[in-house]
Parts: sequence; C-alpha cells; structure tokens
Amino acid sequence: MEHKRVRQGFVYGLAGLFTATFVALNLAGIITLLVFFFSPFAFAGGGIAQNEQANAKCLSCHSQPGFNVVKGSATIDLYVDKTQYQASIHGTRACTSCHSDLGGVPHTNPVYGQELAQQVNQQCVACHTDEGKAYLSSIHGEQLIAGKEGAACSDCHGKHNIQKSSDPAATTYRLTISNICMNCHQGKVAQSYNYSFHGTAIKLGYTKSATCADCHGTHAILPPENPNSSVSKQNEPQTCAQCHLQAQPNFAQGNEHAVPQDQQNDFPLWIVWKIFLGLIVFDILKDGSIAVFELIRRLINTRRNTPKS
Amino acid sequence: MAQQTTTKTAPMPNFIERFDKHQRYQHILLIVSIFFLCLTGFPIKYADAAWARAIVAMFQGFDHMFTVHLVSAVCMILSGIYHIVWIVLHFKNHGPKWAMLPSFKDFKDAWHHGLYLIGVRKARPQYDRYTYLEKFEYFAVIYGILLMGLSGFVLWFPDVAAWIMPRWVIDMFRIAHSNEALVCLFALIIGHFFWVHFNPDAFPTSSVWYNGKISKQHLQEEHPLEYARLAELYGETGDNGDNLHAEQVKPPKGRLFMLVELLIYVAFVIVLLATFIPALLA
Ligand code: HEC
Ligand code: HEC
Ligand code: HEC
Ligand code: HEC
Ligand code: HEC
Ligand code: HEC
Ligand code: HEC
Repeated sequence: MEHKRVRQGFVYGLAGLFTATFVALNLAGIITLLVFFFSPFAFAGGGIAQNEQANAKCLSCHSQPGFNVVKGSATIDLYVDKTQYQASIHGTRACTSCHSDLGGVPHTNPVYGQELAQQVNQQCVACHTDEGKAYLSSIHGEQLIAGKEGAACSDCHGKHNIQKSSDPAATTYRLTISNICMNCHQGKVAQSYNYSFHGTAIKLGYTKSATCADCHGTHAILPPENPNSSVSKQNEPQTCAQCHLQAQPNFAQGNEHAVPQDQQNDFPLWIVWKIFLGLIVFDILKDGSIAVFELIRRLINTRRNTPKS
Repeated sequence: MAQQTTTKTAPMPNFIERFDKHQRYQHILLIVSIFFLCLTGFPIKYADAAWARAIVAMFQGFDHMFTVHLVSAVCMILSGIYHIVWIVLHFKNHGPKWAMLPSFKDFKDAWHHGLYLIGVRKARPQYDRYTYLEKFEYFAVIYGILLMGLSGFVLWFPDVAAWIMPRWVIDMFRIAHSNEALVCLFALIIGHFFWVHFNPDAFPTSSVWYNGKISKQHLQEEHPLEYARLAELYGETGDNGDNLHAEQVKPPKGRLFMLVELLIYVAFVIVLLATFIPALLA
C-alpha cells in the first residue's frame, strides 16, 4: 500500500511537471512571436505592418497595369506586380529600402536607366555587405561603378521578383543562371557553353553539371587574365575540382570556350569535326547509293522475270 | 558452322545454321546496348530539339537518362569482350576460321558489284561465306566500338584522362564521340538495315539474328560459294534451290513495295546529303 501510494504520487508529480513545462514553453513561444511580430526592431527597415502600409501607398499608383511615364521618345513602364513583389524575398520590406532617393511623393528626383540601377545597387550593397564586397571588386562591379557597362545585382537577381537561389523560381537558380549570363555574354562564349556537355546537360535539367557561375563564381567574377580569377590558368584546375575529383593541371591546357566551327582558334576541334563529317557523307553516299541501285536492279530484274500474261 | 562436321548420309537441311547461340547473344547484346545508347545519346547532341526534351522527360530526368547511357555503354563494351572470348574458345575447340578476313577477292567483288549495280554486268558477284560488305561492316563495328568506347571513357572520367592528355585533346574526343555516333547511326539504318530488313528478300527481317538460320535458297543466292561447298559435303549437286517446299521460301516482295522503298531511300539520302554536305564544306 505504502509503496503504491508513493509510486502514484510520483507519477502524478511527473505528469504535472511535464504539463507545466509544456504550457510554459508554448506561452513563451507565443509571446516571443507576438513581440517579434509587432516590434519595430524585429526587421531592418521597420515592422512588416508598417512597411505594408507604406508600400500600399506606393502601390496605389505603381500597381496599376500600364502605369508609365514618357521620357522623350521612350515610354518607361512603372508598373510593379504587387503579388509577385509580396511573394519575393524582400516582399515585406519597404519599397524605400531600395528606392531611398526618390524625394517623397510626388517624386522630386526621378532617375532612370543606368542611374537608377546604380542608385538601387548601392542599397543592395549596403545591406548585403559580404556579397557587396566581393561584387565591388569584380569586373561587373568595377565596370558599373566606373559608369561603364557592367552588371548590377538586379541584372542577375531581378528586381521585384528576387528569391533565394535554391528556389527554382529564382533567376539565379542553377538551371537558369546561365541564361541570365548569356543575356549579356553572347557570341562564342554562349555558343560554346551551349555546345559543351556542361551547358547541354544544364539545359536538359542536370543540376550536377556546371553553370557559368560554378566556374566563374557569382560575385567575385574576374577576367581570366587576372591571377585571382577562378578561371585563371593557375586556378582553373582547382575550380574544376569542385566537381571533378582531381585538380589536373592539364585541365588548363586548352580553351574552355571553344567551338569546332572556329577554324582559326580551335583548329584541333575543327579538323576532327571535318574528318567525321567527311565520314558521315561517305557513309550516306556508300550505303545510300548501294541501297538505291540494288532496289533499281531488283525492280528491273522482276520486270524481266515476270511472265507476260 | 557446325554443319561442316555433319555426316554425308543426312540430306542437306532446308535451313542452315549461320550464327551459333553465342554469336546471336553477342548480337542481341549489341542491339540492345546500341539502341539505348542512341536513344539516350542523341538527346545530348541535339539538346535544343523538342524530341530531345520529350526523351529526357520519358526517362524522368537527365540523371536517369545519363545513367542508362553509361550502363548501355558498359554493355556494348561487354558485347565486344564476349565476342573476343567467344573467338578464342571457338578457335580452340573448332580450329581457327579466317572467313571474316578481307582478301583480294573482296576488292574484285566490290568492283564487280559496282558494275552490276550500274547495269554493266548482268550477274552478281559470287560471294563466299561473307560478302565484302559484311566484312566491311564487321570491321566498321569493331572500329566503332573501340572509338566510342575509348572516347566515351575519356568523357566519363575527364580527370583521369587528364593525367595523360591536355584539355584540348579531351575536347577532340568529344567531337569525335558526338559525330562518330552519327556515322554509326547512318551505317546502321541505311546500310545494315537495308541488307537485313528492308531488302525485299529479307523484309521484314532476316531470321539469322534470332534463330541463327538461313534458308537454303537464300544461302544459294547470296553466298553461292559457301552453298556449293556445303552441297558438295552433303553430296548434292548444288543447284536445287527449287526442290524446297514452296512455303519455306518467302516470296520476294512485289514491285509496288520496291518502288515505295526506293522513293523513301532516295528522299532520305537527299535530305541527309543536303544536311551534311553544306556542313562539311562550310
Ligand atoms: C530589393 C530592392 C527593391 C525593392 C524592395 C523594390 N524595388 Fe523597385 N526596383 C528595384 C530595382 C533593382 C529596379 C530596377 C533598377 C534598374 O532599372 O536597373 C527597380 C525599379 C523600380 C521602378 C522603375 C520601373 C522598373 O520597373 O524598372 C519602379 C516604379 C519601382 N521599382 C517601384 C517599386 C515599388 C513600388 C516597390 C515597393 C512595392 C519597389 N519598387 C520595391 C529594386 C527594388
Ligand atoms: C501619386 C502616384 C505615385 C505614388 C503614390 C508613388 N509614385 Fe513612384 N512614380 C510616380 C510617377 C508619376 C513616376 C514618374 C515620375 C517621373 O518620371 O517624373 C514615378 C516613378 C517612380 C520610380 C522611377 C523613378 C526613380 O527615380 O526611381 C520609382 C522607383 C518609384 N516611382 C517608386 C515609388 C515608391 C517606392 C513609392 C512609394 C514610396 C512611389 N513610387 C509612390 C507616381 C507615384
Ligand atoms: C534593407 C536591406 C536590404 C536591401 C536594400 C536589399 N536586401 Fe536583399 N535581403 C535582405 C534581407 C534581410 C534578406 C533576408 C530575407 C530572408 O531571409 O527572409 C535578403 C535576402 C536577399 C536574397 C536571398 C538571400 C538568401 O540568403 O536567401 C537575395 C538574393 C537578395 N536579398 C538580393 C538583393 C538584391 C539584388 C538587392 C538589391 C536590388 C537587395 N537584396 C536589397 C535585405 C536587403
Ligand atoms: C553576375 C551575376 C550576379 C550579380 C551581378 C550578383 N549576383 Fe548575387 N548571386 C548570383 C548567383 C548566381 C548566386 C547564387 C549562388 C549559389 O547558388 O550559391 C548569388 C547569390 C547571392 C546571395 C546569396 C543568397 C542566395 O540567393 O543564395 C545574395 C545575398 C546575393 N547574391 C546578393 C547579391 C547582391 C547584393 C549583389 C549586388 C551587389 C549581387 N548579388 C550581384 C549572381 C549574381
Ligand atoms: C567549365 C567551366 C566554365 C563554364 C561552365 C563557363 N566558363 Fe567561361 N571561362 C572558363 C575558363 C576556364 C575561361 C578562361 C578562358 C579559356 O580557357 O578559354 C573562361 C572565360 C570566359 C570569359 C572571358 C574570355 C572570353 O573568351 O571572352 C567569359 C566572358 C566567360 N568565360 C563567360 C562565361 C559564361 C557567360 C558562361 C556561361 C554561359 C561560362 N563562361 C561558362 C570556364 C568556364
Ligand atoms: C547585364 C549584363 C551582364 C550579365 C547579366 C553578366 N555579365 Fe559578365 N560582363 C558584363 C560586362 C559588360 C562585362 C565587362 C565587359 C567585358 O569585358 O566584356 C562583363 C565581364 C565578364 C567577365 C570578364 C570578361 C573578359 O572578357 O575579361 C566574365 C568572366 C563574366 N563577365 C562572366 C559572367 C558570368 C559568369 C555571368 C553570369 C553569372 C555574367 N558575366 C553576367 C555584362 C554582364
Ligand atoms: C558544377 C560541377 C562541375 C564543374 C565545376 C566542372 N564540371 Fe566538368 N562535368 C561535370 C559533370 C557532372 C560532368 C558529366 C560527366 C560525369 O558525370 O562524369 C562533366 C563532364 C566534363 C567533361 C566530359 C564531358 C564533355 O563532353 O566534355 C569534361 C571534359 C569536363 N567536364 C571538363 C571540365 C573542366 C575542364 C572543368 C573546369 C574548367 C569542369 N569540367 C568543371 C560537372 C562539372
């Protein structure tokens, strides 16, 4: 009896303890969430509710389809897709976190094109300091800062539709990023990538294959002549070794962006290509004409052999 | 090949074994592996085509398709190894046979056949066990397997290949791999398939690949020298194709059939030449 009561008391005590802990933890969780949700410090640039209010004002004009401004001969589309923006990674952020130089509404200081890109880019760099630092030392950043043709963050990531790169909807997703690079890098670079196994496989959905960014990097992209570049002759083997098991010095012996059509620069590929085209034509001529002439002979022979009735 | 040991007393059978069991197995392994190699390889060469995407979708993604490609490649190599092992054992058990080796007669036959095709000579060449075209095809297959196998392994393990070759040589292998595939494909569908499938005497298919047998009449027509040798062995005169039962001899296809086939071939060849000659000369 004694024992039983003690045991019972023990069990009840334990159960009570568990329940109390459970309730306390839950309360703490809910309170934390509530505090964070309404706290103005919870997110950089103000609380979600506040941002939403401010953004609603901007969107009252900018989410009207066809909203635009005419500058000289060009019509500039000022429409912003509200649902797309709100679903993006910055969707809860204030428009003004990227567009900080507008000078209020109506805007006193509207800028477009390269200038707008530069303006917004400064904001991206200010928040994303690590990527920003790498980017500013890259060829793309250097060019843009110098006011020359370069690539802004938004050229690769998009503007109101930015997503994490692991999201297939992101412009920087593995299977799409190369297309983004090829918007600007056309000509032989794009042609060779599309021809290469790496590019072909990416096109067909093979996520293990190499994108432009796997070899060149994402933000610290440098010309191959720069010894710090991931594709300089010194670093290239190591770059390939991200996927290929061994960093072979021989990987750097040859043009990455080669196409067989370029007789001058890629002669070894050109000559192999021509030899095999020759074989293909020989094949068709030999087998094709034998088949055709055999059929003709047989047609003639059957006519000769058919008894006339 | 086994008939040559048969005793003289039996009459010559109406169907004669041309390929033994192992030869048929090798050939079937080769058929299956090459079928899948083409099915999973050409989508990589022509990645922009809609059909390429359809095939990738059929395999539920590039990963699987590529795996099938690699597995089939290994099977193709295995068929070659099987063949070598078979030759060695066959030579050991039955003595060496050199009927497949090219000879001077093959060049004469080729010339003769050419003249026959353009109507200068009335009779076909008298072929022995293998025609000059069959020998050519056999060595083309050996060359094809060696080249596709070697270049395939280089591309499969580029980091291993790079022990001994620079990047640009690896790339040469890629061009070779991708274009030799077309050489093989055309040799198969225009050359090989004509003789064993589309040729009116064989249509829809020669039976040698599945039961190993060739009809007496067919043998006499296409390999008269071999037939004569066999007939002598059986004590027959050598020209009695017509004492076969009617149902055992497939009637040759009609003239309409041949005409349609001729048109298809001509169109096909013209399209292919119009595609590849400009690329060659470009
Ligand atoms: C993550 C940063 C970011 C946020 C947040 C953002 N934008 Fe933008 N916005 C951009 C970029 C980048 C551009 C394009 C700059 C360029 O032309 O290169 C842009 C351009 C624009 C333009 C010019 C027309 C155009 O589409 O190119 C308008 C209008 C605009 N944004 C409105 C808004 C509104 C309204 C919001 C809030 C709902 C917003 N933006 C939030 C980054 C942002
Ligand atoms: C009353 C309607 C209206 C509201 C509200 C409004 N805009 Fe605009 N916005 C315009 C017009 C009109 C232009 C074109 C101005 C011009 O080029 O003269 C413009 C241009 C822009 C541009 C492109 C020019 C530039 O300098 O970047 C951006 C970006 C932009 N607005 C962002 C915003 C943001 C962010 C808000 C909210 C804080 C906002 N707008 C609110 C009407 C509005
Ligand atoms: C106000 C500061 C701020 C600005 C300006 C800003 N971002 Fe962001 N960005 C953030 C924060 C904070 C996150 C993380 C959001 C999250 O994880 O929910 C983020 C997320 C991202 C992500 C996904 C990152 C990840 O780790 O998953 C990308 C890509 C990105 N931003 C790009 C840009 C680009 C491009 C611009 C300029 C057009 C820009 N951002 C401007 C604050 C900013
Ligand atoms: C040349 C194209 C390019 C430019 C320009 C570029 N990025 Fe990126 N960025 C990428 C790619 C590609 C990735 C994805 C890397 C990965 O998958 O690991 C990425 C990743 C990121 C990430 C990490 C989060 C994620 O999405 O995985 C952030 C944050 C980011 N970029 C911000 C920026 C900012 C800020 C700028 C401008 C200063 C910028 N990027 C400019 C291509 C670019
Ligand atoms: C397998 C790795 C790899 C991939 C994938 C790759 N590159 Fe390159 N890229 C290189 C290397 C290595 C160089 C150095 C020059 C060389 O070896 O040809 C280079 C050079 C370049 C250059 C400068 C030299 C020139 O020829 O103009 C540009 C621009 C470039 N790549 C863009 C791209 C773009 C865009 C893509 C995607 C479409 C891409 N690369 C994909 C490795 C790669
Ligand atoms: C908005 C257009 C744009 C986009 C998008 C872009 N680039 Fe560039 N890129 C440039 C410009 C402009 C330059 C500098 C001019 C030049 O030297 O060609 C450059 C330079 C380079 C260089 C050095 C080229 C050289 O000749 O030395 C490389 C490598 C490069 N980009 C790779 C990439 C890769 C990889 C991506 C995609 C992840 C990419 N770029 C996306 C515009 C772009
Ligand atoms: C993001 C991963 C990745 C990177 C980086 C990469 N590769 Fe590859 N590469 C692959 C994959 C996956 C294959 C497919 C072959 C396989 O699975 O074995 C491949 C195949 C190849 C092939 C054979 C296929 C062909 O047809 O060309 C060569 C050669 C090659 N890579 C060279 C390189 C070189 C050189 C570099 C560095 C400049 C490099 N790769 C960087 C993933 C990569």
